[in-house]
Amino acid sequence: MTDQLPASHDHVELVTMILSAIADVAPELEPELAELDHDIDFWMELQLDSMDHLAVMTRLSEQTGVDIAERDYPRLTTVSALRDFLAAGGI
Amino acid sequence: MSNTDTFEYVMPSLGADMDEGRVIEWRVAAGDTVHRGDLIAVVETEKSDIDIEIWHDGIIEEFLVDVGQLVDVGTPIARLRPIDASADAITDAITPVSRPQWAAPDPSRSVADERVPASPLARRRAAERGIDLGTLRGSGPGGAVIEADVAAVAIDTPPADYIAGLTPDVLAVRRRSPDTMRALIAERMATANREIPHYHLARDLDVGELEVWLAERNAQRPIAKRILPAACYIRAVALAAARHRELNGFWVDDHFEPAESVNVAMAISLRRGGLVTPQIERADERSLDEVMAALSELVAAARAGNLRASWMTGATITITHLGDTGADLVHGVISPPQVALVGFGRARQRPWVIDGEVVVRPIVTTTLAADHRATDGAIGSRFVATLADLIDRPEELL
Repeated sequence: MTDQLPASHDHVELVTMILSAIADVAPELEPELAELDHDIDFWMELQLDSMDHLAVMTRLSEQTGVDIAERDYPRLTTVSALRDFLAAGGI
Repeated sequence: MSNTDTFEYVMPSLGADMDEGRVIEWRVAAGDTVHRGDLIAVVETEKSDIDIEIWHDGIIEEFLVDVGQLVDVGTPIARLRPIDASADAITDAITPVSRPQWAAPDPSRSVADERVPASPLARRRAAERGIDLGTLRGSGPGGAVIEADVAAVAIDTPPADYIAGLTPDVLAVRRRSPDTMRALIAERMATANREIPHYHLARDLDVGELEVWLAERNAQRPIAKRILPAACYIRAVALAAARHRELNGFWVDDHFEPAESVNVAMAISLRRGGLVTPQIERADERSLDEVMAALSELVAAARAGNLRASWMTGATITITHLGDTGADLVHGVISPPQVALVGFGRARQRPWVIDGEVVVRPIVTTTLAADHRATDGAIGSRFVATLADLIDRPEELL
């Protein structure tokens, strides 16, 4: 388990972490990630299913120490929203 | 096979549609002691790379094929000697196989089988199913293998003639195809549609109770322990199949053979195209948490191309779950020799009547595709009703 990140964690680093988590779960999508629009629903765009969703969220939660509740899922559909959520420590 | 204190491990059939494979990696070395269930090699098939397990205890003497060499199913690929190396110990060293692989009959094996005392009926039944008589412990006079011994392991084993039934021209087409998985699916589904008279039933399920129940449970759990609806569907299907055994088994030799366990296969789509259907063994006897853990493992392995051989065989019923973004319902095609496939569509908000009032509820349409040779609609209908009842009372799925 990694140490918890400070709440003000660098945005660029968080984006890298999010994209790496997606690439870990779905390696074949890696080529598409560089061009991914950070403000669109990437779950839909990349056709990730509920198993992928859980796997990505689990990785991010473990890496940042931030608890991601199910009730937060509906607003965490873009890379930007996920980044801001994690940067704020889950608020 | 003149040297009786050694035995050979053959290229296993990792599903009814495999006729050849190549070892791409040995996980063991000559001289290693292996035990039943150990992973000994990675085999590349047309579908994916699969870790293969050994079913007998032994010591690896030598490998009989080179890494990368394409060989037919049934070809000896390794020679082993029993851990207790006395010449008479071989039968004891070979553990009875409780869930044999769908091994294709190995013509060279019949000679060895002649040495195993067995009743003529047992011999015939074993031959039909590609079971090596030498792997069975006989309970007849003088330790002879009798029909009941074969039946005890045969129940989950589709017969060899099903595997052998793939016609040469179909195989030839498959070999030429640039997209072999597509061709494999085409062949299996064409067989299913040609041979299985399907009937289809559907029922809308109010999954509101299930969603609330899951949300409450998941809110108290760390993210890695959360349960997805798919795991609940697998449990519900497993419990329903356990109560309606007429839908849990195989259509073989013009009759239905119920399976002794409920092994639920899950259709998992692969992003690069195609799908695989690994199974969760005895899903009716496992807890919801165990089924969820197994599902996570299967999906990750399927997508990484690391499926184990034992996951790919022995399924007794299959589920296809379309996820939350696609279609409302699926009229599925059964995976032979199974006799039923259960579909779940996406959850969508629909008007629904409860106690005379119209309310908005999350609705999932479940469908059953069943083999009309094995069952009639009345049985299918009872199965669907049981399924609906279980989804209504999710605590039963624990």
